[in-house]
Amino acid sequence: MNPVVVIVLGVVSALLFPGLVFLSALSFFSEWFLRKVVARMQSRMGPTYVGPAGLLQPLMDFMKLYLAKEVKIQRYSSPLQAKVGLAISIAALVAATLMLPLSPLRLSAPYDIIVFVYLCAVWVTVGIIVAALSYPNPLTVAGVSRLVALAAIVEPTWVAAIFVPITMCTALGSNPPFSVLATSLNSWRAWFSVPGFIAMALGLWSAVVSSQAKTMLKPFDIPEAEQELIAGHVTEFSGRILALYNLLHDMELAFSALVITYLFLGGPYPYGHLSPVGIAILIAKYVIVLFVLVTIRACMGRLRIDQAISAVMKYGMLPAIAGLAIAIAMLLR
Amino acid sequence: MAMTMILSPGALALVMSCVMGGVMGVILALFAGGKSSKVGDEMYIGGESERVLRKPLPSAVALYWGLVKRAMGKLYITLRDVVHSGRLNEWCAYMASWFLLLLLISIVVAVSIASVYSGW
Repeated sequence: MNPVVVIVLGVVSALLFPGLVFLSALSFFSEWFLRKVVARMQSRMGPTYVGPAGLLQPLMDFMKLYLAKEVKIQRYSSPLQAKVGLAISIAALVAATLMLPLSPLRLSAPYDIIVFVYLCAVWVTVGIIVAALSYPNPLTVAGVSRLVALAAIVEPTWVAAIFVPITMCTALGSNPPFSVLATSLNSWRAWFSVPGFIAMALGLWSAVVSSQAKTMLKPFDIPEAEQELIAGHVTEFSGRILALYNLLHDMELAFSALVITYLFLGGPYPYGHLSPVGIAILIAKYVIVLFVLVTIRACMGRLRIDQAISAVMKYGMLPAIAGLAIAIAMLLR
Repeated sequence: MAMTMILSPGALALVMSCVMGGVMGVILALFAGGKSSKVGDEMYIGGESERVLRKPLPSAVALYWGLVKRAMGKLYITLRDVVHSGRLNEWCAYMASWFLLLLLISIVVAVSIASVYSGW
């Protein structure tokens, strides 16, 4: 293996596809899809004017914040800290994408789920908290308190949910064990037995609930509660910092849908990545997952923070633990 | 064509850290500079002056534990009012609902494990 080829492929994967550029484009598409579908459900038009069917509106919103709007420097703020925090979160998501089969350079290792969790569940949350605390403000502090209280339940739930297909695939002999890449390529096999179906269904349910909370979509958007906390931890973000935060928010939605598509629904199964039918199936599965998340967001009102925590524990944590128990029983067989 | 690299877990963590660092550098370079307001604006507290902060405010830690206690409060109240009410029939009614739930979960898990061993 030529090291120069590996490095070039690594740089292309990290920065272009499926890295920063592709993930940003996918995030803009996901935001457009969310806005359009929610608007149609509420008898509104949604984005219409910029691009075909308003497809380029999220990009234009981003560019407006990036180029035209100014960053508000507050007396006690540290804009650099905000940018570093948000850059940490986005970089963690981009790095984690290299562990999915979508990447031309696929990185894997035995037990790499630990690295994956470290990137997606730990660094993303830490980055948001670092960014939020860069603008000291009572509303920000209240938003961060809610964010941390919710994250303390949501992140373990999300991790337990994605451990279900990982454990199932390891039980079915995927190699390397407990690998995100091996699971993404073999997760479809886990559905074809009675206990496997039950475990995967419970895990999928839990992953949808926890992704909804992770991306702070309704009914779990209490940390950003408008009217009550202005915008919670986002209150003082403006200009390029707000552009970066909005990009991160959309990227979390796109990444969560991508993870569910691969780890639970088998990506392009029953075809491969390089076949046109496989690509079409992959896109269809991604859009279906996105549609489910968006429909839940459109149908539900905001929960109070204590209701949100209880809802994640009841409808997220318990199914994930039950699914994981079945998966572990299969592993120990 | 895709290239798959199976590394050791330590090497993967190192590579991912390098990728994260590189992407962070690119993002920070892209988002450096830009328009900014004059230094020293007041913080935005919904139109209030910063003087309002002289009033006592709860700390972030107090807010966090307040939320957790509120979320767990229902459990405590249920335990206090239903389970420890001193009436045996209330205790039985409460426990019966949990026993039914446990029975349901144990049936699902038992059937699943049995099906695993019988090779369904």
